[in-house]
Amino acid sequence: MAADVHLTPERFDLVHFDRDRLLAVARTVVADCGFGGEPVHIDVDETTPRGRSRVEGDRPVRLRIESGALEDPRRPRCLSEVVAAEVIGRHLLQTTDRRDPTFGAPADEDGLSLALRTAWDIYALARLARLGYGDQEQRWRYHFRNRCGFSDTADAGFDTLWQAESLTWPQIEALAGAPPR
Amino acid sequence: MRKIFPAEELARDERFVRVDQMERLADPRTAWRPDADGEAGSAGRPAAKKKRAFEFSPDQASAPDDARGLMHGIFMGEIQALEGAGRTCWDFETGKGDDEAPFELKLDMARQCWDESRHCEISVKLSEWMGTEVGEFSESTFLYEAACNPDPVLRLTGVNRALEGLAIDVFHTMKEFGGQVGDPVLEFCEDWMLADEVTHVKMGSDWLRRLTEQDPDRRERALEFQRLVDKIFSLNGARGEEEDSPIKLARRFRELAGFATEEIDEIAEDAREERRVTEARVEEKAAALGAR
Repeated sequence: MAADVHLTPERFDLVHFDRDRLLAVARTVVADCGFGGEPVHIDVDETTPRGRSRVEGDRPVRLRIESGALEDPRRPRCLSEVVAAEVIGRHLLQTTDRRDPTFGAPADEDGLSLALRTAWDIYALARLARLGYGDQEQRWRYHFRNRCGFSDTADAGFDTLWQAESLTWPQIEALAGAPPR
Repeated sequence: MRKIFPAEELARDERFVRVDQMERLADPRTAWRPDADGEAGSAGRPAAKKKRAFEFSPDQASAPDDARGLMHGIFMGEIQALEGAGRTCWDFETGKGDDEAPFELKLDMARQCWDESRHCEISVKLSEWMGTEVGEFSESTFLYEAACNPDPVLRLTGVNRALEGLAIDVFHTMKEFGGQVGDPVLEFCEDWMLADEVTHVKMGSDWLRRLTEQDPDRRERALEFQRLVDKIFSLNGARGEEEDSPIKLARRFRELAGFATEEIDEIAEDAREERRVTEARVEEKAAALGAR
């Protein structure tokens, strides 16, 4: 099913992003992540070089992404299609998780600790890697270690997050070392 | 084999992408807004108050990637430091004239080549540890360009005292970061390389003194060049002695490397001035963006 992606702004003035290419990448990722049958809105804030991104709406899905999150680290203000696909795909898979009643009920993004956010990101990025989008396992392992410890226990937790096809939120919490409720 | 090798012709394979510093400075975007929200994911965090181009702290969501980027930048610097020290061994005839380099200075530069090549090796292994690919981030050749100065004394003040002095600050900060996040490999590697950088800066301090003992004008020119390089590469005021400076001025290590207290005070004051200039620039950008 064709992806229905709405991208703003209509034109990039402060960065050198190729809007058509970004739209093409977004449409492919949206379709591959199972959102082909519904509109997805992507709003890029090109006024800041920061790399934050968040889901601001579920139905329809609304993503707000700062331009640094889509930028090629080797070419200032230029688009990286690989990075863009990862950012968009991660948020879409996490939206899928939230919509799944068997997944559990994570707090809003602002209420998640860095450890929990990282663990969930890794679970999403691993699934995305299996769909063919990026594969920087060691980079994400380093992120996880920074948040959950440089230890065999943390590494085992990362391995589970990276290899799992289906996890619940309480399982992710446990792997991130969060105390049980 | 030619002398005075230009930066544009440094040997690099297709993995490396070079970016001009001016291109970075021309970025019209700004990370700071007067009404911006705080870092997402940290409930209760106050709104962003810092008008900085660069933040580096474990409690930032981007900290692991910031560390990776910084390490890659260090790696690029190590390659260029190796190339620069090696050039200084060759670019000058051996002797005691102003356009010559004493044998003992060349010996010190050869020793530095040995250290820098080891740092390159450490940096590659650290990159593997941190999940960074060689060439994942861009390269700026400013360190090597400072090493292209036709006066060997100015090379040493520009590279060994200014830029490797900055390296002392950065390595010290990275070592502290490694300790804060519990990364034993990063902490150990930074500590190891930091010790070598103190030696390199000390070489610069010692040769500056020895080669300009009878030539105060040449010393003044060398220190002026050092100050210029220090200012240009103060990371827009991110390097400083304030509590919230992302890169802390490592005063004690600089003293060990032969910096006088007054010199360090001057670097700290220049950093404060750079910070004021940067914050004013950021405010202008924010105002320009707000008017769009």
